[in-house]
Amino acid sequence: MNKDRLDQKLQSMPKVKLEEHKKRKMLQNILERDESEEQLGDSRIKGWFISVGGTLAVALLAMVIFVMPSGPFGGAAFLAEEELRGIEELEKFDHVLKFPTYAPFEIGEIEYDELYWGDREPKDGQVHYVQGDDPDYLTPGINYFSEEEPRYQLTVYLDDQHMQLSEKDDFEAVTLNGDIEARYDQREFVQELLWQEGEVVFNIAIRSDEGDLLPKEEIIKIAESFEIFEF
Amino acid sequence: MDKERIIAEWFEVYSDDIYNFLIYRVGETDVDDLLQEVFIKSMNGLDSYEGNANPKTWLFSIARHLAIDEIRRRQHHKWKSVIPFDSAKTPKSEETPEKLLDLKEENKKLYGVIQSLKANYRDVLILRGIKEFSVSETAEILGWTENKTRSTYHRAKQALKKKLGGQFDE
Repeated sequence: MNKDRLDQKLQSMPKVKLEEHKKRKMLQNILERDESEEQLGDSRIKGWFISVGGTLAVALLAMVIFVMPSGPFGGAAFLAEEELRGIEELEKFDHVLKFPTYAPFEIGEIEYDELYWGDREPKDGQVHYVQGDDPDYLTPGINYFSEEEPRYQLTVYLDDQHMQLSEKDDFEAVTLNGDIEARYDQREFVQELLWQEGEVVFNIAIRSDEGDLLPKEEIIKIAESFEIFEF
Repeated sequence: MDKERIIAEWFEVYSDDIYNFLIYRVGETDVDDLLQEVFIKSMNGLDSYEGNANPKTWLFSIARHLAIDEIRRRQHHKWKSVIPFDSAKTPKSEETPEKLLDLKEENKKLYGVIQSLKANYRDVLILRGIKEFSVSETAEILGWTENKTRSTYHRAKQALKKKLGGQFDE
């Protein structure tokens, strides 16, 4: 492999060494932990089938497997996680991706969406997006559609350079989990929430066909359910 | 060889490497428990370890999964830390990665930008770039094909260069 300057720079990034006494202590902990787990395992096996605790544990395990939603790393499952993981377009974005794990309605379908911020020019009688392949000019979004009536559409956009938090007075200031400032807006058929984490601006909007607005608390709950999405 | 001995040997050989990986990947310095967890998990899973696999890549793939879990857990904790008394349960290290790694200004910037990239890019930059794993080793740790490893590393470097403002453009 030809190494460019960045490769060389990465290779030269500093590394630290664990202190010897710390290392010894850690290894001791590791080996002791294994012994204690082995002993625990033996006693578990002996009493497993006859103990009430065993029965309860089986019931709890069944509940965890069949009732509680869980993601690949043990956190809450993303909304429509399987479909979300199938959206290859998301892979082209450099910034952190976060998506909701909660919605106050059952999700039926989802679709990928993009906002385009680059130049447009006419070409062959159509509008041509000049930088349409460049993720720098695109904002990824996901539309989540409710399964049942009343119909809702939840739209999520994640942007690291084009969107800004509006300073408009008619946005209501709300706080997410006590420390993130967000802006809430409500119109006839749309409720919207914007906030920023690091360099990424999050924009969620809930649209209702019939104007069945959700309580503001539910919109906040959706926002607070966002988790980092990893492929 | 009994499994305690195998783990002790692996710990001796690979603990520093994995410790560094965790500091870069988690973005914090209090990764001691996580490092121990890597070896406890490997000891518990030793029966399923295929002897012909490279122990280093196997340990790193365990470390990576634990790091992902840990980032998620810490993020949850951060969100919940406004609840009174909760924060007292998890003391946080005062030492920053920048201080521990003794990062100079340019490295600090590079470290910060790596942390701002998405997880795929961070993984491949740390493993391939900083830890100097080969393409096939990186692919093995990440569970990717070699082609995907190559192309993602290329894209990750492009993203890094862009965010560093052309500093490393050839």
